[in-house]
Amino acid sequence: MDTVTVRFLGLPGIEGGGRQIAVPYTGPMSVRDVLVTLSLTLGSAVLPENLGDTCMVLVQGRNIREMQGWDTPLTAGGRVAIVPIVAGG
Amino acid sequence: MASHSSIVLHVDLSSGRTWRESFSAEYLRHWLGSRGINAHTLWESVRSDTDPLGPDNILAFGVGTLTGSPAPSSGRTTVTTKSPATNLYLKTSAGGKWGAALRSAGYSNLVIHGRAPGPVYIDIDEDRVEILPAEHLWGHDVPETTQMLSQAAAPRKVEVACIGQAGENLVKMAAIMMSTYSAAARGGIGAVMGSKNLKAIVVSGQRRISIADPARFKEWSRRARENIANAPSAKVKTLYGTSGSIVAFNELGLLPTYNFQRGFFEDAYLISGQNLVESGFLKKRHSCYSCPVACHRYTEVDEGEFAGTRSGGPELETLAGFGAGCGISDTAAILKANELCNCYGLDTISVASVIQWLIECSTREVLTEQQIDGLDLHWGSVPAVLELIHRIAHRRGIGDLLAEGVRHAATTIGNGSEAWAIEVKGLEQSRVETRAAKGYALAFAVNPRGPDHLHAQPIAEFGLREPGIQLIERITGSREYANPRLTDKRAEIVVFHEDWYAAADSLGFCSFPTTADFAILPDVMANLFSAFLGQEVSEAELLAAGRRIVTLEKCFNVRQGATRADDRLPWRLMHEENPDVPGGAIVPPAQLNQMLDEYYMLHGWDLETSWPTRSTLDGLGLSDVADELERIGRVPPARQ
Repeated sequence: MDTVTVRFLGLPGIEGGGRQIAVPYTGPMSVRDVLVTLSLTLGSAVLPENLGDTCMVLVQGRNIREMQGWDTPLTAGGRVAIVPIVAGG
Repeated sequence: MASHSSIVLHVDLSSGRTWRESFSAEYLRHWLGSRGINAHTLWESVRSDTDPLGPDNILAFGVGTLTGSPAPSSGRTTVTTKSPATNLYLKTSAGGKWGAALRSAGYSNLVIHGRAPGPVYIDIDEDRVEILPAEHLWGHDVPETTQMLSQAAAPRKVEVACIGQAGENLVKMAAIMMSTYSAAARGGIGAVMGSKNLKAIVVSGQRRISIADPARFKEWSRRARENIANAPSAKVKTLYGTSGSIVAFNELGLLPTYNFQRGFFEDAYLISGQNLVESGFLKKRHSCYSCPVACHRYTEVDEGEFAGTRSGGPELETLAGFGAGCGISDTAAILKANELCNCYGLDTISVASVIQWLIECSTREVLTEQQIDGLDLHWGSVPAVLELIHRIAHRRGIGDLLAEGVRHAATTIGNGSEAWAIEVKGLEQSRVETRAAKGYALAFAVNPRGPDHLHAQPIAEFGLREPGIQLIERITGSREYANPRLTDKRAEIVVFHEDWYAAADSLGFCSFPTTADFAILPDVMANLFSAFLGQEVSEAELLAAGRRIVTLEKCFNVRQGATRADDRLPWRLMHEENPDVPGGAIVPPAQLNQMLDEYYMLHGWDLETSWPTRSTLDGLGLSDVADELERIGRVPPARQ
């Protein structure tokens, strides 16, 4: 079965589900669609409106802000990473 | 302005003489405080032929003008000298509480001259200033020295700035450690202190900073604290420290790995701030003076080969440098490397960088086994990396060569190894993937001390948060320029950040709530400074003073003979792509040159030499500087 891999890396306030989750790819879907699907098991904290601006969402290593935001399309085998915002070093 | 807010204490270690010098509010408006006053003092005191490790060099400590006040995150101390690593201008800064203690002793600045005949330390308790013997401290590490001096002073509560064995041995990546674990680290500043036979500076006092308009100051401090509390990136730092960003950098392909050959490290999570928390290494969070963020860590290893390891930190630079940089994913081993560097008083950026270079030399077989002291050197080789830290601190074997810095080591070894020496001006680059962030690339190339993020930190160019995007719009006129892949408008972005950073440094603000979190913007700083002085200082005046400081620092390097050729990036970052950034990432020389042209034009500096023009210097109130440069032929001719 085709999947999209979602990784949550070091985000405060999101529990359960491990750090890497495979979501079935059932046809054209966006980052928002995947997060809505995941919210059924991980809770509403992973919904776009609740992730807030403490994190960045990357698709294939690129920030979705540079693409189509939450509507950025995903393909089968796609990689989504949700990580804390860069805070300087 | 209270009198003790404007007193410079001078100590001449050669003669044992001490004296005080006060300055006016006008002088303070001109130079803003620590970094600016230090830069002016260095310019006036040091000559182009002064040996950085000789008695004629000075070591200037400057307390932020607002340090000691309730303004949040205002406890930074700037230390300035002529660098033994670069032979150029060097300012480096530290957090902790030492600066606030010097302010409580009644001083804004402390300038060390000369060289003591033998090991000494300076003890300052308000009006009492003593130069005392330190033979019993020489050879002790930083935590031991700090503890011995604190116990000796008891019940008086003191703060200590000191060097470890690295500074004593004149290692050109030695740091000055304040409040035990806060490092003024870069450019070999600890070696300058060691060259003066000065082991430590102990300070204490009860004097309080005086603010001309307390009500206004309180209100703007409240606003600044509120802004910090609402900044998401500040929350990440509170939870996970600076290393909370490692996973994000890695996912973006921006985590320098294997000496900048890659941008992705498979085991990045193991070296992240998140893992320090989850694996139980983090024991305490603590803050610098008056800082609500508390990004500093205190870590311990409870079990395994490195059980008993304990130290302040590690910061992102240390975890990234010894972790991804050296290919080490054993978190406890990196904590051990961090502990060793903190004990010896070493700059973890430079030490990790020169070790990575050596590992690459070894893997490329340009060194014989004898040259590397028979060490088993390869990526991820923990015993060799830890042994090299000892050798660098004590200048033993190959460590003696590495202690001179990666430029010197690469020049000595040759065989093409200069290509993977990640340095500019003789200073090792910090762990920022400048190939993928063009504003950072420009800022690193022009930084007077060498390539790192603590001169202008244009994180806003990433466009990660709305306040950063708004800032880019304010600087460039368009939100579209909040994109690190663009080269357009990078000069405007960098120049603005330089001015802002210099002002923030001088007032004592940390770069995190300012340029990284956008919580303390220039208007907040101007209001706090105005309230402190009791005189109106506009945001424009504040930034213009920042420009004056940046320009004087540039002029110091011009006097040393620096030219446009010195403003560049490490060879690898201009000629080899980072393969882990989608679409690749590189800053070719032609691209950098274009950005440099725009940067020099904005500054009013000559495009051919990079030297500031006479009219630029006159316009900034630096005519005396222009006169001196003119005398030695370093003011560019007028060109069409």
